[in-house]
Amino acid sequence: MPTPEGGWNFRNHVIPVLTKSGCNQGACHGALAGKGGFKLTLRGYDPEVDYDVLTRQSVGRRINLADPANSLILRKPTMKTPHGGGLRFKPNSLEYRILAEWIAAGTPAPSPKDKEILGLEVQPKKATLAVGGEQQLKVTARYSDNSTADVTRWVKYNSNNEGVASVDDSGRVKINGSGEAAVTLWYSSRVLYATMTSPYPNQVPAEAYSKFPRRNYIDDLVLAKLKSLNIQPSGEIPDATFLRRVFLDTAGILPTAEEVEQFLADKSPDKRVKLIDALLEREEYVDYWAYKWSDLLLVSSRKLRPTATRAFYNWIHESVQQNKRWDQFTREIFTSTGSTRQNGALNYFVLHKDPIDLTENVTQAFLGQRLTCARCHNHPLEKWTQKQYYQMANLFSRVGVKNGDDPSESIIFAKTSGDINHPRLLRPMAPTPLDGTSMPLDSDADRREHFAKWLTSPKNEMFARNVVNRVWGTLMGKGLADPIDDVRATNPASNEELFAAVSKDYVEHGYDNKRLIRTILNSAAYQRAADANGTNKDDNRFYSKYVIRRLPAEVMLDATSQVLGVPTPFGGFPVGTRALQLPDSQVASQFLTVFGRPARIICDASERSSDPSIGQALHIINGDTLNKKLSNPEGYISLLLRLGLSDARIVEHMTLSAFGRYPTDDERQQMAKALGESRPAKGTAEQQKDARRQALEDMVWAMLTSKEFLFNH
Amino acid sequence: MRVAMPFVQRVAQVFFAASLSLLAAGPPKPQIFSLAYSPDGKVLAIGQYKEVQLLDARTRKPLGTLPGHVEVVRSLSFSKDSKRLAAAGGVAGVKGEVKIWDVATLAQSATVSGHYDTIYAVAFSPDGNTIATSSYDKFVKLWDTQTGKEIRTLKDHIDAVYSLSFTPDGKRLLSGAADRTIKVWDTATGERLFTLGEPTDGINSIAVDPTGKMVAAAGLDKSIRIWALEAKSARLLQSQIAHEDAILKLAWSPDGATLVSSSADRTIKVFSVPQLTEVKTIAHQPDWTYALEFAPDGKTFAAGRYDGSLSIYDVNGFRDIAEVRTASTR
Repeated sequence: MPTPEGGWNFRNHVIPVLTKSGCNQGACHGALAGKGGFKLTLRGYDPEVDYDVLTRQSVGRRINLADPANSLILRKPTMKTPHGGGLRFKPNSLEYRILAEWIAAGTPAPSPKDKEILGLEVQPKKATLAVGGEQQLKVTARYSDNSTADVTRWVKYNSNNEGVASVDDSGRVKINGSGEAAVTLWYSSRVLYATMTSPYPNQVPAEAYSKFPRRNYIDDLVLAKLKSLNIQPSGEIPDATFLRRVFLDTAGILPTAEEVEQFLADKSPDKRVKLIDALLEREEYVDYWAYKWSDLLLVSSRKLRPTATRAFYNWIHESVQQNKRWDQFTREIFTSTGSTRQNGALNYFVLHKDPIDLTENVTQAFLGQRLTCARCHNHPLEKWTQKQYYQMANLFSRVGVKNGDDPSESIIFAKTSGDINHPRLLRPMAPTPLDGTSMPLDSDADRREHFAKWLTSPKNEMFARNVVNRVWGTLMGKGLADPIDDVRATNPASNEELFAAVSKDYVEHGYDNKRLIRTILNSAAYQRAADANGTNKDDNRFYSKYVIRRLPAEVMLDATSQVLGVPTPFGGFPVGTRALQLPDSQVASQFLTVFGRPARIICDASERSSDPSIGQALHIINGDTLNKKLSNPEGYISLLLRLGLSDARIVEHMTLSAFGRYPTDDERQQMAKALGESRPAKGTAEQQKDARRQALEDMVWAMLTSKEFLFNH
Repeated sequence: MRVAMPFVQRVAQVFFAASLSLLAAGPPKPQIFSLAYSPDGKVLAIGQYKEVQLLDARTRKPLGTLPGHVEVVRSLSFSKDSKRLAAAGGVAGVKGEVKIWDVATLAQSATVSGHYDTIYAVAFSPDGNTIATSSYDKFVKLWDTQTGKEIRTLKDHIDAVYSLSFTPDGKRLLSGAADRTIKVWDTATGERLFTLGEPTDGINSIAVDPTGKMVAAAGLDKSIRIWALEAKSARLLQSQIAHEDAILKLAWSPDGATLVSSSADRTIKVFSVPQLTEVKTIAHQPDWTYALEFAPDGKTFAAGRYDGSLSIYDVNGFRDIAEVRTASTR
């Protein structure tokens, strides 16, 4: 490779050598404290600082201008001098040559006139290969002087699914298994990815795709992906399965026995569509989604006073009730001033008071980006720089909070001065939203307004993708980007065309959440069975089958109360309040805590846990919650007994109520037998009644602790 | 000592060495890494790559060269009687070396070898019998100047030790290190007496005032701090952010009234002490000023830089009264 005209450039050649050789990675000299007294910026995010460190720091020990080959920076990586980091490159390598020639040229410094990298391109962007196949990637960098360069050998490569595809240091991909993997590329703080697809070795007839029902554009795109992977979609679900599933996913409640019977008996061809419409108009739908957005906005009396918590919740609830546009909902938070009592949305600024907290929460909650890493250095996984972090933080340095008339009220206002300094440059950055435009430091306009405008702009893809992914993931069981709150550039979606189409649709139709939910629920992709067929047993990403999931804690508790007719008492709330109506995650409930209700401390989807635990099992077996409701004299079991219903009728009712379907003949027979056998041959009428009651409680207990009840399937 | 290597590598070495010399931009300007004035005010010593240049302090005419150092001469120290000069350096990552020269005859009187890395500071004790060295290897060592043998090693710093200073009475030795501390040692016993831990980042330079009652230190946290040195501890008198980038070197005027600092922010600043009131900023320094030394008469101070330039500033008005280009005899 010939030396370029003008010699090797520090920023565009030397730094990439240090990065590719691993010198400035976090485990070595890029660590916070460096190694052996030698500290470089992580992955070369600040070439000017690195230049001083290499040439002049420590009285110039690392570079020998008079005798370049004896420079420490060459002796160490080639192991001429003992090196804790081992051999990084050999003396006859291009890496050595670039460093040595740059030193011999007198270590020319980085200059503001250096061409800057604008972006990367990869070829091929996508490839479909058989298992065992290989693909060499080619990465090109585009620069500010309109030139391009092949930087393939300098890129850092990574695969997000080694089981499908692995990639070596030279950018050569090898397919290890069927499925799809994204090979992410990092070069000079720019990121990109290439998609490697390897269809499954299934025999899927063409009709499997062409004959599969398509209700809207979602189905076209899902089926296209499944076809490219040779995965056959599972079939459509029967009415009973659909009914229970859609009730739970839309409103977090079970259908009543009556609603089940009515729906199953309805012969109209569009009953599913009508049911979805009806569910979206229910109060419970509003409660369910208000709860979800309260999770997102961390509505909790842990830091807010109870009345403030209530005000915050009420604003969210009203907004869902009105089906307020998501962009307007968000804008209201960032463009309002005044009393947190009169405008519940403003409690957001009581929860997040300083620019650091606001920067990190805002980007996580509304953009699905995790910016925290960039607080101290350029983000290692994404394109965000430390400078951008502090440009963003300075948007939030003038949020004023002062006490209102009573202790639970605060007044939010825009201060006319105040800045946050970049920690190394020791001066404030011009307030700039992530990849938006700056506003002047000396402007006294409300900086939040500038931010809100950028945030909710139709051009801001992250904003739409973040909320679309959260809604989609809630309904479909897995986000298009997974985890559900991580839509960064280096975490590609399992179906990028689909993600883009749904986001576009969402933005073009007014950021309408209700419409988005309706569209998803009506798709055939949503109405697929959870059962695997021969081809899709391992698929949980591409929506070839419904992803079974455990009911969230609140839904579980409410469902139990609903089936047994015994509401759960919550301290300070009227009897009959459902868990999904609680405005505050601090309301005491051992059941909810054990089953993973989020504490609403940090904005992270993993706060809501559905991991199983011993505590949960014990709670179900021995705990008070279920057992008390079963034996409650005011509950439905007692009621059904008092009404004098037969075992068969009780079994049927409970099955309809808990499972949303009629019992099968086999079930009827088995249950009749079991209940019959449980009656003692002898004993007083009292004892007989007691025994019967016990048996029924046991039966219902078994139903309510079964997977069919506790899971959404 | 060459280790046998495969033929291919030897060929590659020759090839690349040749191509390096083809591409080199010409002999580099002799860089300046350290300076020292002899206490009698007659000689200015300049530490360069592999050699020390001696200039007449008044006329700046060359007096001679002290050659044969293994690499850069990073620190210089004259004995109090001006008769001997210790020049310290070594090979980065490998070893330290000090050559002790007889100033009158330009002959080498002793060599000291030791440390596992290059030496950053060397200091003659006031009585001339001992030199202290400190190195990137985190150690401070005391050596006998007659025999060149090591007396003891002072082990306590946990990072490179860049700066040393004896108190004028020779009883204590102070060391400043990248581990953000200054340590005070008893020279007779080697005992570490106490540690000054206020700095918030690595120390590049310390300077003890002419009376031995105060010490100033500065480094990566851009601040200058001054302590009063007491028997069992030090009392922080001043702490002030002085520059916009790391401070490289401090120099205390012989009358104790002025402190000068050089920084990576390409300025030299003059402060009146002990209040640390800024008197002057000499801006637009052409490069990093590693070396800063007052002439013994206190009328001027010299600044030597990475790019080989040398300035002599007079204390009235801070004009550069010398345009000196050092020559290389290589």
